[in-house]
Amino acid sequence: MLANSIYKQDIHKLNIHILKTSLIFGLFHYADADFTTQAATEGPTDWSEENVTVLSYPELISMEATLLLIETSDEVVEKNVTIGNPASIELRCNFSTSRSPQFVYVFWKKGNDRINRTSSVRVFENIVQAYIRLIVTDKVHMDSYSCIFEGIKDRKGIFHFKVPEIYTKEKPLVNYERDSVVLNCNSEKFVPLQWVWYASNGSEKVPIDLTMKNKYEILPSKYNETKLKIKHLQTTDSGPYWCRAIFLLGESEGKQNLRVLTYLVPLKPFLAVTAEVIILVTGIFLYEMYTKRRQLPSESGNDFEQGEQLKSEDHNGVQKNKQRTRYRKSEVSVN
Amino acid sequence: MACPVEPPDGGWGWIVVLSAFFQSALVFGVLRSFGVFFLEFVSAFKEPAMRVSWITSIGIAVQQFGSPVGSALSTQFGPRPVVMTGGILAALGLMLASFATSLTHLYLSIGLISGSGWALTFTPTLACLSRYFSKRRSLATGLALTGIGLSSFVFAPFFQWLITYYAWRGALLLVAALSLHLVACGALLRPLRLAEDPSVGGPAAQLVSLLHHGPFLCYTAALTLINAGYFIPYVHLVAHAQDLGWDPLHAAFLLSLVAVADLTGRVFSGWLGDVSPGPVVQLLAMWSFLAGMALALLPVAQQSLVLMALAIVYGFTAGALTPVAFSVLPELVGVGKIYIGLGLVQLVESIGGLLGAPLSGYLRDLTGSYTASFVVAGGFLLTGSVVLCTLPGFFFCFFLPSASEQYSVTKSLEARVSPNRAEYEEGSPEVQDP
Repeated sequence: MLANSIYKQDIHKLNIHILKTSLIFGLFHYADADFTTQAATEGPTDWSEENVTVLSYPELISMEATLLLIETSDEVVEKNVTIGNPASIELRCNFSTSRSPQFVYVFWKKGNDRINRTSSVRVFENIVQAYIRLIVTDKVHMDSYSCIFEGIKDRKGIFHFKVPEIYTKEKPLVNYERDSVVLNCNSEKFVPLQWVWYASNGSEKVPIDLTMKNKYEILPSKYNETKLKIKHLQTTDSGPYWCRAIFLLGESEGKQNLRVLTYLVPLKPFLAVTAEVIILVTGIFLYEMYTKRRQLPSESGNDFEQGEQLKSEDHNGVQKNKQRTRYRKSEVSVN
Repeated sequence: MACPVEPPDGGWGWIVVLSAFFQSALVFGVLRSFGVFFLEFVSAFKEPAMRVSWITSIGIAVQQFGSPVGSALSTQFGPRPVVMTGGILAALGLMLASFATSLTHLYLSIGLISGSGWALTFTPTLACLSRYFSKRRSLATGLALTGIGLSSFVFAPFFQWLITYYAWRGALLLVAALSLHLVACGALLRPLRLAEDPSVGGPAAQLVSLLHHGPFLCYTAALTLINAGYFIPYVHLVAHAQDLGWDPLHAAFLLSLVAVADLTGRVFSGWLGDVSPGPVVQLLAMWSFLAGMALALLPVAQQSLVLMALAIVYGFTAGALTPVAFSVLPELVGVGKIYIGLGLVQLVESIGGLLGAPLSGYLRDLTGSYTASFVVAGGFLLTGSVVLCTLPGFFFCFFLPSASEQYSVTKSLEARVSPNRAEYEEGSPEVQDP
């Protein structure tokens, strides 16, 4: 740890030296003020105008996010960072390069605007890490931040700050009339300030009227989820529903589709299949009666014969006669 | 059809095979795929999983304990009206279930009503099938029972699709419509009057005679033991594989492999049962023995390939023993008593099935792994096969051709049952073979 920080101080001095020299060569444009601010501090810095806001959010969550950039690779490296509550976040870009650290130039951007602050740098074995600590307390701060390493080709890494996503059941909910249904929204590890539910009115979102107690009810739940119970469903209740989670840093929505069916919907196929079964059964019986009628006239004569044979030859040579009758029977009963 | 005939061994018999195929599918395929509704019921009624699983347990219990009732009614009225009524009951139960507002509702409608419907269909159909065949009985039974395996593949995704589009209420209504086809299948069961029938008496008389029939009781005991071990892998194999570090997808795939092996085993054994010269009982003992060995060796397998191979062997042998199990019975008790006989067997062996799974679960909880469960299950199968060896007529066939062996066995049985039946000499159709 100690070695690291000593190293850091060296790099700071190096940075200042480099910047001074580059200034001479007119490569960069920096305000003089930056040098003094940077060299003096080690810990979290903030933009001077934000000092007031920092005081009003004493409990900032400390976060960090890291990206790896390779000098020889062309791809733009991006990362989504989910921030649910005001936070103090350190963004780090690890730059893998063969260049000597003193020749690595890096700066940060917020959106498309350059941040007027020198980037701090740490050096590890063959990685140059540029880091910056930002305070995120407002919607304004939820942007895309990029670190850019300059060289023959600029290498860029982008952090996208996002509000937490809302998770709902992906499958559309199907229910029947007079049933009740519960719509669920979950914000996982983050707790919003407020949840609001919207239904669809053809083309626009309409907030749900929660004063209709016999129709809508918000069920008690944990802070990171919301449950809307819709009672006495009707087909008109079908459609999309949105749950909106309001965070300090922005809003996030989840959508669910509800389908309310009447009993007629499955009843139609049911009746169709029932009719089919009745037709099958009738067909089977008709076929049987038809084949029986065909067989009956020819069978009656043979029946008589067989009956006589059985009666006349009771115990003598029973086997032989039985065999003969069997053969005859098997001829007759073709089916 | 007034004049008694002997089993046609073909012709309309194949239509009966088709009917039995669809019936196995519609009864057991539906029961096995009911797990798809499980989660829906849990969330719709806000009840814990254990209470929801009672629905299928009650249904299976009613189906198995009600088998003798179905058998008795079939002996009295013939299989056709009984099976058709059963089909209507099964569909009615499912239809009522679609309107359910509580779990008790489902216990009564699916468990009790549909369960009774299923009880009136499956056993009479298989018994009827046995009456239609003698030479090709095993093959016919094997083919019919493949309905169970195939339907499990088809119904589970189909029910899931129904639930997605119609929710569980609509899906139940449509499964009820599907079950109505049991009625159509029942209509195909043309009554067959065999020469034996007039002499075996009504259902009560048959029941009494069977309960005094030594070999029958011995056979029932053997089947109960086999049943106790039979279902264990289907219940525990996936969990055991996951214990060994398999990921859930591969473990489920293993079960599918076992199901395919089971199907193949059924058909192969059906064919083998008919062409093999010895008594079918020997085959049953052989398959049970092999299945027991495979099962007992399962815990020893640590490598994936060995486990897979043993599981496939188990699937094949377990599937193989089912058609021969059904084929032995008519030869043992005669086709006249087949309805009652099959009903009784189903009733008693279901006790084995009901006890087997919880016992293995208990052993698992006790020892922490499935080794004991599998070994005990294998033990049940091995014991069952040994008990089968004690049946009369088991060892005969090494020395005598089957025809006369069957003849002498049935003769001795009939001599005990009814002395003046000797002139019919029914139970030995092989006698007439050229």
